Amino acid sequence: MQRRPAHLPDFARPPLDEVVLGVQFDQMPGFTSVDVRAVWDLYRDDFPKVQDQPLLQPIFETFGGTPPQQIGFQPFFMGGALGGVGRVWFISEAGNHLLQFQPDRFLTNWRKSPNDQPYPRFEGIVAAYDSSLRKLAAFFKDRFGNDLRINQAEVTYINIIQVDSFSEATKYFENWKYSPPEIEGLNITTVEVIYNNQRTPYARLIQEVQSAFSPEGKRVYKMSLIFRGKPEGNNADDAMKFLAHGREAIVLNFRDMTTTEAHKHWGIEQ
Amino acid sequence: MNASGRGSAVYHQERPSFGAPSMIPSSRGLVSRLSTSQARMRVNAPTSPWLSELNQRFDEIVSLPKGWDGYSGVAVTFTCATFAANLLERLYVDSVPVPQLVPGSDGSVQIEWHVNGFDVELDVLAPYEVNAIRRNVTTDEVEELELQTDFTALTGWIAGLRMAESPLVRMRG
Repeated sequence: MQRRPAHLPDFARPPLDEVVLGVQFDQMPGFTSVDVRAVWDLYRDDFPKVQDQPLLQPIFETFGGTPPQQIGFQPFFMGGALGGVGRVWFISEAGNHLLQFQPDRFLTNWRKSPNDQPYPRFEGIVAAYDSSLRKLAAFFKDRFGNDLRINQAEVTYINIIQVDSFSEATKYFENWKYSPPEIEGLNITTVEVIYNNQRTPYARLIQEVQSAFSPEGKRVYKMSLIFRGKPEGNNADDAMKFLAHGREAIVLNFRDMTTTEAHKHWGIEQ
Repeated sequence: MNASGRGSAVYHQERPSFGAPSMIPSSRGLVSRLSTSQARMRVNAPTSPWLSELNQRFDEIVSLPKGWDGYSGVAVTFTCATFAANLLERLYVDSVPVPQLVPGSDGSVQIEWHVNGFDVELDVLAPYEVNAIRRNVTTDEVEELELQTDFTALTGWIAGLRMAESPLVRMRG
């Protein structure tokens, strides 16, 4: 299991609601809907429930030229899309851990609700995901004779910060200085390009803060941090390195974007 | 659109999240309330005329039957086609004609322009694996690039294809 890097801040009560880790890969030639059952069999002991979901479109983080108006542009032609195979969720008994599979994506989600289980920390989530991804790669190699060729990876942290009023943004967000008595809605998105040591862009860090209402009708800020791009190589080792790097960037960004007052509220330990 | 079917009000992109979609954006200003006659479905449509023109062609090349080339050629993979579309959207320059899409027998796709004294060919072998070549028809000078994530070098090539009045400009007239 990976060890938590010592320079990362840690929080006793982080406002974290959901973590998503995932990879996108070249579709496996010959994969059909019949094979989905065999994929479920790999994980069925820990994820006994299954649900059909609509397909996620491929997203590619490319650089140069004119940025498309929509981040994560998606095309609209669908002919031959992934052999007609959809996306499935394999859900844990407790309901707060899942694997998502479709012929070009494999993701895992951990979420706090519905039963407020203790946050297993990134190290716990990524270790389980690493094992699941390698099982999938071995399955593809065995059944189709091809290696899993990963073309992109992503880490997402979604934080839910409960507030009494949307005018409290200055208490939580370091760069938000505007504080009229009544803010009805707030929406901030920034997109940062991430470069490697050779000064080549390879990923984006997307930060979103959006005011929202919880299902119970409480005011919250939903703060999403997404790190997405191309791992250095195409195998599981490369993907794991990318995920670790993305997590580090997200945690440091979270610290820098939020106030010292908020850090105390969340029980900063470093 | 995210996993629950609700899309972000800021921009629409696929979200693999399964918890947070239960949150309801608070700001009414983000999504205007329109009368039924004004209502529009907001979809992930491409913004460049190139892709609007190439939509049908993309459908054709990802649906080719096995052996389409008389040998053992396979259709362009959906992954490869999607990456090519993403690339085209990023490289779009007004008044440069729509390129041709040429399927490769191995599932790859080639994007080609033959205009304004240049041949520009982008061979999309796989996502983040693009071989680019530009030939000056007059001097026969050839430049070649191998590209992964950063396509900045191609912007000059594409701008060099701009014509005083391209067929696309005339058509949109």
